[in-house]
Parts: sequence; C-alpha cells; structure tokens
Amino acid sequence: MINHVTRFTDAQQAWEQWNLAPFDHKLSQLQAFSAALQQGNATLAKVCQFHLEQGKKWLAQPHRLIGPTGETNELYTAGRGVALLILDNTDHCQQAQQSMMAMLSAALLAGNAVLLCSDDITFNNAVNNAMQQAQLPAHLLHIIAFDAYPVLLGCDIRSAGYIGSSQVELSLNLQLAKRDGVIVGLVSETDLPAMSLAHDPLLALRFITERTRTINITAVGGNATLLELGSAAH
Amino acid sequence: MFTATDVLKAAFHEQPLDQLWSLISPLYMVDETQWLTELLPLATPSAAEKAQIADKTSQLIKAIRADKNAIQMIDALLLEYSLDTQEGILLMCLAEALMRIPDSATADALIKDKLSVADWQSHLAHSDSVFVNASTWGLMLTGKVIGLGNPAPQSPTQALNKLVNKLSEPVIRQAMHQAMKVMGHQFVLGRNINEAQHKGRPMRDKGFTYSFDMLGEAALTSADAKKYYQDYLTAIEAVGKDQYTSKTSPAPSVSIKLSALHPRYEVANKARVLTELYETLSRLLRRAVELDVAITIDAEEADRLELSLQLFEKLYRSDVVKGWGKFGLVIQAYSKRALPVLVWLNALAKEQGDLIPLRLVKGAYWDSEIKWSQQAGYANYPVYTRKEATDVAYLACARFLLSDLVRGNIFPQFASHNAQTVSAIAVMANHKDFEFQRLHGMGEALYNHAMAAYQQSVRIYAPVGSHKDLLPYLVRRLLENGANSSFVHRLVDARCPIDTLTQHPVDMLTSYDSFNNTQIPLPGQVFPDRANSLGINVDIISEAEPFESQVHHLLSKQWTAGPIINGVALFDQLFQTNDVHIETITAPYDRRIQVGSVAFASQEHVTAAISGAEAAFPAWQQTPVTEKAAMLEKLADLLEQHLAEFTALCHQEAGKTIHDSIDEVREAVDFCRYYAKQAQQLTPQTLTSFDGVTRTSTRQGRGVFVCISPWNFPLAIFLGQISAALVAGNTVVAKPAEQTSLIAARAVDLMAEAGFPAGVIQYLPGRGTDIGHALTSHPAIAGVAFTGSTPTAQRINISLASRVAKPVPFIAETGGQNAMIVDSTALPEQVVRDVIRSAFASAGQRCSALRVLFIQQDIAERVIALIKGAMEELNVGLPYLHQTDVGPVIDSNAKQKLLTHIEHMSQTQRKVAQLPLNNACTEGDFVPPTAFEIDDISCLTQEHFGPILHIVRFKASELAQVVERINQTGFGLTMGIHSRNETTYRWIEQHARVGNCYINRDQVGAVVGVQPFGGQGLSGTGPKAGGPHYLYRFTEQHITEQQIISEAKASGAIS
Repeated sequence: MINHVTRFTDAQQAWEQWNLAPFDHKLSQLQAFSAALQQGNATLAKVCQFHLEQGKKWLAQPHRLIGPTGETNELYTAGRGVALLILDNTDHCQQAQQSMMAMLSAALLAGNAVLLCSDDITFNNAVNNAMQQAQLPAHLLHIIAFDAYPVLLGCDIRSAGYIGSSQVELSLNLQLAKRDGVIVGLVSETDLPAMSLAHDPLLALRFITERTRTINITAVGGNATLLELGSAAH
Repeated sequence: MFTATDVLKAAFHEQPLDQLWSLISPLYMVDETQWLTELLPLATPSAAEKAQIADKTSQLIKAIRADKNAIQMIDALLLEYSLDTQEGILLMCLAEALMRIPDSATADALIKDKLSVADWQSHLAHSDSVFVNASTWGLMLTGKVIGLGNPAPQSPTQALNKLVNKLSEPVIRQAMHQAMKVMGHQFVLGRNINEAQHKGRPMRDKGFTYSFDMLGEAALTSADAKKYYQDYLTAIEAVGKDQYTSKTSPAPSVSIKLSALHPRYEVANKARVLTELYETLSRLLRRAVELDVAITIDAEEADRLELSLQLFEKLYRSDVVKGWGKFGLVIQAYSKRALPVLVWLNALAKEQGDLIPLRLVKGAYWDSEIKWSQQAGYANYPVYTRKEATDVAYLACARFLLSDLVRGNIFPQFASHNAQTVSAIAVMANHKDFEFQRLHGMGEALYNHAMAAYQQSVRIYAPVGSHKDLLPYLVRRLLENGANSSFVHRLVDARCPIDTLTQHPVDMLTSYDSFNNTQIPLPGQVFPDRANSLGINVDIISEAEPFESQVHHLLSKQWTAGPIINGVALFDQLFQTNDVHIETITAPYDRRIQVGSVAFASQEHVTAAISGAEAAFPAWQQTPVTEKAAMLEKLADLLEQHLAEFTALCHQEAGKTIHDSIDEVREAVDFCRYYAKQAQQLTPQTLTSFDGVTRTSTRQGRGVFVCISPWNFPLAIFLGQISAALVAGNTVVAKPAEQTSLIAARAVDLMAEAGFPAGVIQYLPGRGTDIGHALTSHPAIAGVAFTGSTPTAQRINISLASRVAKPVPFIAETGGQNAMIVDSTALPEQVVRDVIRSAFASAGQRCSALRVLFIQQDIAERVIALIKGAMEELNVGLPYLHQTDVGPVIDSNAKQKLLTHIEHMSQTQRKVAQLPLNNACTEGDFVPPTAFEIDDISCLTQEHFGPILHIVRFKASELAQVVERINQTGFGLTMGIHSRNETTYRWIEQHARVGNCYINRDQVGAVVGVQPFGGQGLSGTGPKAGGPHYLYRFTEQHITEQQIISEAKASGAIS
C-alpha cells in the first residue's frame, strides 16, 4: 500500500516540472505520445489527438485582457496537480477506453501529472508502450491497479476522473467530498454509449486552474506609449 | 459652462468671488470638444501675431541649432535613449531603482536583469555626445562582462539560487552607480541648498534666477512630513540669508509641494488640511515673509486642485501673508479647469490687492490622470487628450494672464521648453510684467537665446536633494520629455525640419478630424465590447455634492426584506401573520441605529422556491440568449441609476465606506455587462470528433442553480453569481449572507424591473444553519455557486455529494492566506501605499486582502517604520464620512474572533502598530487595524478576515523558500510582488500557486473581465468569476449528430 503513496509523491514532484514547462513543450511531448499510440491503437491515438487539438485552442496562449492603461493583464492556465483517473470495468470496453484516453490527454495537456487506476490490460499496455516510446518525463504518468484508488483518494490529489458505473460514481463523489482539504470535483462518464464527455471539446477546462498576472507598467516607463498617443504624431 | 472669451471683458470680472468660484468645478471633466471650441478664439493669433510668432520661433531654433553648446548632456542622452526604445526604458528602470538598493546581491541582479535584454551596441556612435557614447560603451561592456546569454536549462530553484547567490561584481556595480550619479547631476542642482546656491552662481551671474525645489515625494508619515518641513525651512533660511546681489538676477524663490508637508493632503481629509497643513504652511510663510523669500505652491494631481485653492485662499487672506505679494502657486494648463481658476485667482488678488505670482505649466501627471479616470469609470477626463489641445489651452490661459484685466493682480510666470510657446508669449505680451521659467538641466540653450531675444527674466526651477530622492522626480521628467515626439527631443534633433517646430498649436489642433484624441477612448469606453461601469469622483465638488446629498437623504430610510418566491414578496404577509421571526437589522458602525427588518425564509419557503424555479426553467431555457442578455444590460443600467441608494444601503447594512460602496455597485454593473456579452459567445459549435462524426455542440442551462453569496460583497458577488447562472440558461434560488439581506433584496427588486420573469429568480434570505442544508441537499439542484469560507464550502460539497443524484457543478470561491513579497529593489513609498490599501481597505474584509507581508531584511526597518507611520494616519470611523479609511467589521461575532487573534498575537509575536479606536467607534463593531511582526507564515493556522497585517522578514538568498512556504499553506488566492527586477518577479509569479498575482501594485480590487478572480487549492475550485471560462461551468453540453462518415464506420476503426 505504501507503494501507491510513494507513487503519488513521485507524481507530485514530476508535476512541478511538467506544470512549469511551456505549453508547446507539453504539446510536443504529448504529440509524440499520440504518435506512439497510433502504432498500437489507432482509435485511441485519434482520441488523444482530438483533445490535444481542442485543448490547444483554449490553453496554448495567455488571454490578453484589455483594461485601463498602464497595466498588462493576462489570463493563463496551469495544471491543478496530480489527477487521479479511474477506469472501471464496464460492458462497453472500447468506449470506456476512449473516454479514459480523452480524460488522460486532456489532464496531461492541461499540465497535470496522472495516476491512472485501471485493470484494463489492453488499455494499460497501449498507454504504457506509448509513454515509453514518447519518453514522457519520469513519474508523470503512473499506471496502477484499479483497486488502489481508495488509498490514493487519501492523497492530495487535485483532480479526479472516473469512467464506469453510476453506482461507483456516486460513491466516489461522496468519498471525494468527505476528504479534508482541497475540494475536488469529479469528472465522470457513465453513459458510455453516448460518450458525451469524450466528445466534449472543452474537456481540458475541467483539469485546469486559471491564473491572472497583472503588471503595473507605469512605474517603469510603460506610459511612454500613452504619451505618444497624446502627441502630435497622431 | 461659460463663454471663454468673456474673460477678456471687464464686466465678467465684476461677478462676486463665490460666483466665479462656482465656475471652476463643473469644468472638471467637461466635454473636450465643447470646451476647446470655447478656448480656441483666445488662443488663435491674429494674422500679424501668427507671422511674428513663426518668424521668431524659427530664428530661435536656428540660433539654438547653430550653437555648438546647445545640446546639454542630458538632452543628448534623451535623444539617443528615447523612451520609444527598449534601451531607453531599461536605462530609466535602472536609474530609478539602482541607487536605493542597499544590498549588493540584489543590485547586481537588477543590473543583469536590465542589461541582458537590450541592444546597446546599436546606440554606439549614433550620438556625437561624449557623455552618451561613454555611457553606451559602459553599458555594452557591462553586458559583456556579466556574460549574459541563454543559460543552459536548469531547474527554476537552481536558476534563482544562481541569480541570488552569484558572487557580486563590485566593479560593475560601482561603475553603474557612478553612471547613475552622472545622470543625477544633470537634473539636481545640489545635494543641499548651500551646494545648490553655490552651483547656481554662474547662471545668476548671467541674469537667471532660481526657484529651489526640495526633492522628495509625498510624505506618508508625520515623521516624513516633519523632515520635509525642516528641509523647506532650511531652504527658506538659506535663500533669505544669501548675500549674493546682482542687478540683473531677481531674487530666488522656493517651491513647496504640499503633499510633502502632510501625509493626508487629500480632499477626504479636508478638515485636517485646512487646519494642520494650514498651520505648517503658516509657519513656513511667516519665516518666508520675514526673510522676503517668495513662495510658490506646486501643482499636483487634478483631484487636489480645488482643495489646494481653498487652502491657498485661506493662507493668502491670513495676516501672515496679507500685504506681501510674493505668495504664489502653479496652475496646470492641461486641466480643463485652468481658465476659470485663473479668473477666480485674479478676482481674489484684485479684492485683496496683493500680487499673486503664478507659474503656468502644461502639467506633469498626464499619464496618471488618464489612467485614474479610466480605472474609476469617470464620464470624461480632467485633462486634454492631445498635446496640441494642452498647448492651445496654455496659450488661451496666457492670453488672459497677459491681459490688462490681470496686470497688477497676477504676476505670470510661463514655464515651457517649447520655442513656439515662448515666442508666442513674447509676441502676445504688450507689457513686461512677467517672467519665463525652465527646469534645471533642460532647455538651457533655448532660454540663453530667448533671454537675449526677448529681454525677459528667466527663473530656473531647480531640484535640490540627494540623488536617491531624485529618482521619482527624474522618472516623471523623463516621461514628460523622453518620448521622441516631445519638443525638447525634436528641438535638438537636427533631422527634424524647423517648420514642423514653428507650427502654431491652433493650426495643428484644428487640422485634426476631432479635437479629442480618438486613440484614447473615454473612460466609459475602455473595454472593447461593453461599457465601463460609471464612477463618481467624490473629491470634486460638482460631482460630490449632488451625490452625497442623495445618499444623505437615504440614510434614515428603513428597508425590508423577506422571501421573494415566484415574484411575490412575502415580507408584508409574514410580518402581518407573525409567521416567522422578524430580524431587526442594525448598522455595523452603530448598533443603536435600525436600518430595516428581514423575515427569514423557512424550510417550506425553500421547497416552494425550488419548485418555482424548476417550473420556470423550461421556458427560461428556451428564451433566446439575446433576450436574457438584454435583461442583464437593463439591470446594469438600473444599478447605475440607483447608485446613491445602494451606497446608502452599503453604509447602513454592510458598514462599507464611500469608495467601497461605489466600487461595490460598479463591480455588480460590470458583472452584468460582462456576462451579457460572454453569454452571446456560447454559440453552437460544429466539429468533427475523433470518430469522424460531425456533431453540433450547444451549451444549455442545467436547471436550478443555488447561489450562496457572502456579506463582504453583498451586491457584486450576489449579482455576479446570479447573473452568470441566469444568462447561461439556469433558474436561480439565491441565498445571500444573512448579514446583508436588505441589499440583496433591493437587487432582486431591480431584477424584476429589468424584466426577469417571476420564477427565474427566487430569493431566500436566511441563516445558513437554518436553510443551507435544505437548499444544497435538494435532489433538484443542478449546481451550486458559493462564495464564503473553506469549511462551509466543504460542508456544502458533502451535502451535494450525499444526494442520490449525479455529481453537479460546485463552484466555490473560498478563503486565502494572501502574501506580498517585497525585495530591496522596490520603492518603499509605493510598497507602503499598496500594503496599507491591500491590508486595511474594507477593514481587511476582502478575500483578496493582504495577510502576510514578506520584506527583504535589507529594507525591512525602513519599510516597517513607514507602515507604522502610515497606519497612524488612518482614520477608523463612520463609513459614510469621506474622511473614513477603515469602517467596522461585519458583526460582533467577526469582531470577537479578530480581537481574540490580536490578543493571541500580542502575547506570542511582536506588535508593530495598533490604532486606537476613538469615540465614534464605541457603539459599533470596530476592530483596530493592527500589524505584527511574526516569525513565519506557519504561525498562522487560518485566515483572519479583518484589518490585521502580519510581517515576515527574509534574506535575499531565501526567496525561493519563501515562495515554497507560501505554497505550503495550501491556499492560493492572491499574491502581491514588489520588485523592479523582472527576472525576479516573473520567477516568483511562475512558482507561486495563486489565482491572481499583482506586480508592483496593490493586490485588491480585481476588475471584472480584466482580472478574472478566483484561486486554487484551498482557495477555490474555479473557474474564475468575471473570466471567459466562467459561464461554461453553468452549462451542460448537448450534442446533435449531423453526419456520420461512413468511411470511418466501414473501416471498423470506430465501434
């Protein structure tokens, strides 16, 4: 059991670097991951690629926010921390795999490290092989047995995803709510034939935290631009 | 508005002084085009004047350019390092900060930071000035010596340690210090008055004279004000006792900056200004009169103009000054009020019979005035938006000042570095009773030649003080003259044709399509897609008086609130039937004052409200988003129309000060307008998914949202949550904090007026303990938006998750343990202003408020002393008074918790300062603003939501650990950083896990759509309120499949 907690610690350390890495770096690493998936499971690769493309639209560039003069204001996103993603056994194995790949791609692209609890050997192997081939940073993504998730819920995970049944979803949601500390919402999919979560182009937004950075530039001459606007040159 | 040309008619000046005074304030932010149209006839030259001005200007410029000594070193530096270049800005950044940094490690890091990014080599040999080339060689060499370049990738901690711990390079540092001193010498006449007098002799021999200005920025503390008083007194004594005599050089004078003599020189503290500052000035003036040293009161920000005139009048009429004729002041021509001020001063002088020396300047705070007006949402600007407009106004004012109606009342002193302005004045004048003024270090050649040409006296405004004090002054001067469009710049730039410099400003202004600068939007239009919320400037009489009168009338009103279900307000019914307990609401600042009554909702009301909201949902969801948005826009307009009423309510129910109340309404307005626009972007999106199927995704409302809002932003957050939920297509059950039910109820009234259908907003006042669980455990609830404490958020989360229902969105904004990090490059005065506001504004009851200040130990003593002194100047008291800085806390429960913490801290940590509470506070829930020095942030186990500041010192080498310790608290809401080192502040910003990071400013007052607000970790779930991602969380995705690509199916790739 202690082994799982150690994995959380490793993942948390990996997250710090991953989160600080530029978006383009993360994207290129995950594109390599997607390319590697292609060799083993083309559909999963497509799912991954879809979420990388959609996520890129939302996460790649900071939003420059227009306000009063003399300040720069930017909104950008970062990862929340370590995400716990749980893939349960279901009757819709392929849809479950695709939904989990959607979550996994979105969570990693958003800047999180991932603990993936899954007993789906096919899926695990595909992910593991791709991870090795793409040379994702060490400890960024751990594949762990499904039944380890209750222990990992006790760690300081910052996102949680679940693919499986409604019953487990309810129970998991309550367990998450009862934890001390940070409030973690559950991202889940139980209607696997519909797979609406996997098709949601905004899925990455569920795994981010937003940050704003405001810099007063009047103190250092930034308003020279404003002086220019008031000048004869215009 | 009056007819400007009337100022040249004698009859106009026969109006009583009071009547002339009343013409000033209404012009504060008058429409620019209208007022310039009035001023133009005054500024427009006759054909003869125009020809003469152009000719004389041309001659002057030719003479200057022919003069080998014309370009002073500083002019040359400005020419080469214009502020339009990156190097110019970096050079100024370095100059501004370097000399005040006490520790070499931080100084070296700053030098590296500034020198690493610029292309110094490109400036080499562009200039003929030895000084400039020497500087460039030095800068370039320095860049090379430091060996900058792209370092190999390393961990951020390693990078920072390297940055902070790298061995100092004393040679480089000393060289840079020396370079900065050289720059300082160009702008400062002497480090003290004696040195200045001595160095001024050669110019006096040539017939020039001086007005000495003792360097120093606004005083933040009484101790600083006393020091500046002593400086001024010393200057007056020295000037008065100077034995130098000359037939050609008139007697020097002393210029006084009022903000240096009183820590609260502002309209809010008018009573103190007109007594305490009046006394201080009286003492200085008494000595000045004894020694016959003329005194000039400097001009400062536009908001202080009316106050400065009132103070001037009181002093001018006093026995100390009466009969003297050498007490003068400065008027800024860029102010739209300048002309009526001159008219009033002329009448004042005429009435008393004492000459008023008056320096007419163009104005040095232009960029700040523009910024403040935009931030505050004023209807217009107090200054002109084109430089040519200011030049026109200057000439219009000059025309009046040179007229016979003024001669003998006001002695005009024209300060300008513009050859055209100087020539225009010389031509317009039909007498010799005036002088010119220029800044030390600038325009020397211009005035050498102008003096010879026009035979007018020239006074040099000369800063006196240490180089350290020079810096803020220098920055302002450089900003004023450093842009390459400025006259100073173009005068010495031989590439600039002379005829472009002789153009008359009237011609230049009238050649534009519009008098106002269309590139500078009005304050109400700074946002590209929505109107800015309207603000009131209570420092301006014409704005404040009608507003305050409205608020005052409402202070005695009694308000009521009860559940509003399906559009039916139940208060009267509940009151009459005695069904529920009616709460009496009292004012936090005086519990004897009854404000209104509230009937709290029962469990039955909760059931009814949720049913009503469920019933209303289908129709509301189908309502086009444009209609929903229009209702929000209408609501925003109604809120603005009811600004006075909500201000009164905020005073009475929430204990909010005037500024806080106005800001509260403005934020609510901004939320409404912002979400109205955002909602219209939630349009259906069609895209092909990974399975090759093209789908259309629409975002729709989820159902019934519960919105639970806090008391600290009783209108803004209440409406922020509701408006987002509604416009996204949900219906809402809203529960405000029980402490501020009246404000919320009034907002719901306005929602009905704005057209929101009855069932879509259900209002339930009540205690969380009574109805909170019933609300959040109801199976019909489709989501909850909550702002409040972290433990309450956790309880709500459990309540929601305990339902037998699918997980729903829970958007929680919770607490913080907000820090500010200050390194030794920061400007202490700026830091202290921002600390005081961040920690004590709103009595510290903002989620964003500063709780823990980390100061680098090298500057800690000075900064802590300033904080202590600035705290002593704060006024704790009744929130509806303009003078009040800190009002009450929300209730006795909050007060007790805060006092317990203060007691605990007093016993275990070192108290830095604590304000005494005066008699005004005895009947209310007041907590004295208090500051402690503590060992570490870990001493604090929870947030203390009130006016309590904790201070921690740190070593420069521990910066990375400081950030880590802040992260370890688990909270992550706001952070402030003060540093001039971009590498440092960017590193901190990147590594601190906070939602909102503010650099070189205060850390409160996030603006909707500009600084979306919300934290991470224990501080909240996100998404950020007032941000582009917020509305999505209130929606759910509905997918319609459009086209199945058979190929994908056939391939078997898709099951």
